[in-house]
Amino acid sequence: MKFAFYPGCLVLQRMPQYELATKRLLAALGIGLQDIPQAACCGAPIVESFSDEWLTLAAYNLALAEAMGLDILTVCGSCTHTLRRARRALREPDVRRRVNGRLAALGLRVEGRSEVQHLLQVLMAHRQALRERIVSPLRLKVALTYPCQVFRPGELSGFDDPLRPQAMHDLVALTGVEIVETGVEYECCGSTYMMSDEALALAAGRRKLEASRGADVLVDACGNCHLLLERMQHAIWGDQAAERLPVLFLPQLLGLALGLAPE
Amino acid sequence: MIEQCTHCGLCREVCLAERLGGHTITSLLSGGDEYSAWLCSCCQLCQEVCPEGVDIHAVMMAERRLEPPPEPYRRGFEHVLRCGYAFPISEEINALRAAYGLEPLELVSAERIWLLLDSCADPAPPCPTGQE
Ligand code: SF4
Ligand code: SF4
Repeated sequence: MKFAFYPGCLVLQRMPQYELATKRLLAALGIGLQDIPQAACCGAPIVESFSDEWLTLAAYNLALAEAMGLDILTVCGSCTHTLRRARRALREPDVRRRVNGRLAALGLRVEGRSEVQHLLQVLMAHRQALRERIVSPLRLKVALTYPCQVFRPGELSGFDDPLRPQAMHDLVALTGVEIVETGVEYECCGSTYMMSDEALALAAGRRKLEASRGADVLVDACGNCHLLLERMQHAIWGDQAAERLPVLFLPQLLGLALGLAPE
Repeated sequence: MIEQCTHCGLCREVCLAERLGGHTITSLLSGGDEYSAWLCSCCQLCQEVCPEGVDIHAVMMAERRLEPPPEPYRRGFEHVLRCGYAFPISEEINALRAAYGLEPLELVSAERIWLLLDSCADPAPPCPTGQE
């Protein structure tokens, strides 16, 4: 089994450890990931907020995967949502015709054949294989934070419960860790507020981190969550540096339980 | 679309930005006039709970185009037009990838992006290199 791997701008630029952990974990489960040459930004709100051409950009990425004959695997909430929404929009013959008119200049064509699956979905589909590969159960207390747009809106995601999903609980539980319920695991991290109101983003992040006190590690599955909750943690705590909570990407935690070498 | 909205206020109740004291598109939908459509994480919670099925995401994107954009969004959009990514990503990324044992990646060319998005803006200068 093989997917076209779509890291998205943020993970590509700043989080190679997420890509690496994802590739290693899936390889251990017999799932191959192939990079998509010349893939670009998904068109996520950063383009959509300005122009309807976000759809052309999303369709371009879908077309590349389609030409490879593969479904797409994503690791961020935003790219997942944007590519899925583009795929739905492309079901309209008129929309498809217009977009294909543009893509023709690059010798590409999109039909919407490549599905878009987030890492969590693929791992859930291979949960049994994952269970069998666990070699070193982890004795840790783990808090979780779910990537919103992988699950919402439910009519687009068609996966798990849009308001109270269970996938991360189910996957992390395989490792033997104790899950600390924070009461805010299903809430947005607020990372994207950083682009319009930094103080609000830090307040949102603080909410998550404070609720996760008592855990040894917080686990996420999205570059945006990680950007705020891990990279910006110093700004969230300010001079309360002693509060620092380690944050891991889900495939890093699972990789540890599979005995895979950390980075 | 927005015509279906009954101003019930449910979207505003669940919105994290609103609960933290901000006013976003859900304030507009709930009948308020003080808001910024940019102050949103696109978490889709409002969309999920709206009993009328209002496409809040679409309303918000339309509203954003009427408001001046915050600088980070404007810059991100410019990066996409210049180099195809929301950040200034250049060939240097492959040195970082190599340090992690990741295969080099063939980046999208500025020409390709231009063929796709030329209707968005005037020709943009080449993508700056280096991290931000
Ligand atoms: S939940 Fe829906 S109907 Fe109610 S105010 Fe918000 S958009 Fe309008
Ligand atoms: S999508 Fe935006 S407006 Fe809706 S609940 Fe989330 S942050 Fe609030």
